[in-house]
Amino acid sequence: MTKVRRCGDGQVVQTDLKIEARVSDRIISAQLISSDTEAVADIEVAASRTYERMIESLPAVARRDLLVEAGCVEQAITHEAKQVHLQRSNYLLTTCHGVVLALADEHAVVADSPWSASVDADEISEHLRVILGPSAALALIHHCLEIRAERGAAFQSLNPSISILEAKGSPYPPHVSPLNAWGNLRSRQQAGDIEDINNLVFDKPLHHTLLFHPERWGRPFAALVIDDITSLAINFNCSVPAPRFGLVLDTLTPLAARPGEIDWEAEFSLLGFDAGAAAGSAPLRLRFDPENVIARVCGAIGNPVPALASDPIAGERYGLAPMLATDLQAKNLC
Amino acid sequence: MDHCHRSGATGYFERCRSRFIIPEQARSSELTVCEFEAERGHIRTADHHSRIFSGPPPAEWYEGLEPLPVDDEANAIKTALATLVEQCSDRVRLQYSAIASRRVTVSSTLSSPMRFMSAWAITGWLEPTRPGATQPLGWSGRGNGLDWIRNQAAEELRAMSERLERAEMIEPANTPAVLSPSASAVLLHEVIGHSAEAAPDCRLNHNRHCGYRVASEILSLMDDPLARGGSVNYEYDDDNVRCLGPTPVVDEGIMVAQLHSQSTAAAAGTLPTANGRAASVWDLPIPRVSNLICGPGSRSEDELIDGLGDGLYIKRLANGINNGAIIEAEIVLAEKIEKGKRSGKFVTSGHIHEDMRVLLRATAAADNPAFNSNAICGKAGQLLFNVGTFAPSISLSSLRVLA
Repeated sequence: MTKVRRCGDGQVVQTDLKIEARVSDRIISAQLISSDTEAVADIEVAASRTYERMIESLPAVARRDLLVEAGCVEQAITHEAKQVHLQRSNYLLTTCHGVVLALADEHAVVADSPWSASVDADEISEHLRVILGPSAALALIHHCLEIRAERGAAFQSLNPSISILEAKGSPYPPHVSPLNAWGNLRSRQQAGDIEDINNLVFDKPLHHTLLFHPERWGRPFAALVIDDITSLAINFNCSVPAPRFGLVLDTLTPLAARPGEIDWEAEFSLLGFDAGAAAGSAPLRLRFDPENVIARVCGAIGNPVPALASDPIAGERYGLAPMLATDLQAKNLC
Repeated sequence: MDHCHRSGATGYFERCRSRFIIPEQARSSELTVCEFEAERGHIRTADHHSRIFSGPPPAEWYEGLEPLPVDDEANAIKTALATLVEQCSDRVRLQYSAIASRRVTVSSTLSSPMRFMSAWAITGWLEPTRPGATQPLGWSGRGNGLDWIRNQAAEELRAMSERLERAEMIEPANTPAVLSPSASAVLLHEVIGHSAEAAPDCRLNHNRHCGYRVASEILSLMDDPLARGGSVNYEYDDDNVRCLGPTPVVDEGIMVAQLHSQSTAAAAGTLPTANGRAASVWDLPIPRVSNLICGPGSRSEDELIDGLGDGLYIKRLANGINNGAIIEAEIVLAEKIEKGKRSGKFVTSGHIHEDMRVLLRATAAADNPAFNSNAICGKAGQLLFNVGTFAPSISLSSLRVLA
């Protein structure tokens, strides 16, 4: 069961879902049914209060992108009429300008605005180092996987220091499969706590992704190759300090679906602008080969954090990625 | 939100059944069946507050979403698919998706008749024995697709596989070309269809293409939700707007109308055109093509090829994209034309890279129009099974092909 309140750009969306799924050997079935419960008041309060507090702290150009989502997710597994797993989690998600500002497992967290000003594209110095924000890094990897998976090409050859794993879970609670609890259940089985749970074994994440993505039930599966990827965890095996100046690509949206050099649209920020970070006033149009950019990544700035890749066709995909420094300059992409 | 109060609000309700038949692993004929049933809804007020929910509509809004017709052919489809995959050894991956849906849209003043649709799609890839030449596959249609899988799929796959095995890698060129009906459909859909769709964001200009030449004078197109044999067929769109007949979109190369949902029409100060479509009731209807119909020419495809001299016959395109300035599509399969004849020399693994003026170079259309065999189209996070295009073979004086 998922209850969500989402506020942003003059819109409020209240979501109230219950999915009942049955899993057995080579058959998965699920139903969307009425949740039969009222909206949770503290979700509404958390979302609207956080939105009101955040909107004031943002530069004007970023305000229409602010989105705050509060939710609670309850997941239960029942085996032979006996409940063997129950988990309830709250979360609060704040995104703006394509950046996940906060994703916390409580309702009381308010993020700080990372931007103190706004900046136009013509103020970008061509010598600025290019940095991939976490969401841009995630989108870049998604695109490469989409292109390369279709061609069966190995990915790690591009940059041996980068690691890309398919995570069991997702940083976004509504996308966490309840069947991730399987490991815990197996331990309990071995301890003699519960018996014969083999029917629950269904270790094909490919199919699990559909169970908790009911928004995908109405569209062709794997029309996009990466439809069958649950969530990515990206990391880089060496760290570099955060630079004082830089062009941060906050988001990347591919404008073609093929290998090689293509056009991209990017929300951006500038580091070191008036001693702080400035949010770009309009997206940049770039042209580059994503594999070349990945090859030029030289270090992670900080640890992996929740990231959100918004694809114009596939929709929203969450994952984990650090900010990635490259040895490219703005003039190489713009 | 007080959803008992319907004034100014709209309710979108749906009962649907989705079926997916998916390989256990990337290269496997072992298939898993996933079946999902849903009652779901979306109530949206005039001040843009939405309530998205699972379960039946609130009784004060609507009662009695009818049951879906029984479809007990899952095992037959699974068996037919497995047979198909086995025939191609491990060089093909196929995923099957199907949906059957009853929808109703209820506003404070009107309730549309219940709408029913069912559609299927098969997506995947085919890998010739030569490394690096894997090609995307995609087909779709109305119903559950069992007849197509049993009777046509094997031959289509065999023919494509056989030609791809012989195909060489394409070389970049600006070349005269004849596009098959299915390749023309991709280009017309990207250039004309997406340009005709009003921008979903009501703050943008909705008439940006009207009055401008978008194709040569040989091309005239209309949008028709009720086209016989179309990929989609509806009398009412997802906004509850009734289709009053085809909408002329391009008249002798000039764009004459935009396709509108109810909200974009209101923003543009015009009437909606019954093109408000949504992937599910949880999504807001946005302007989408229904069936884009391109009138036939008077010559045969062979005459178009004969008049070309040397060039390319583009048999199959995939993954078309219109990014607002550039049109791209992958060339899955093409054949060299030499001295006005198809040469039997196949090429693959390139793409077309064109701007929005590409159809100004259309010199002739053939008398062989047909509906596209793959009507899948994604836009604004909404992927539809059924965006139809009815197109003839078209010859272009020049087409920019990249490797």
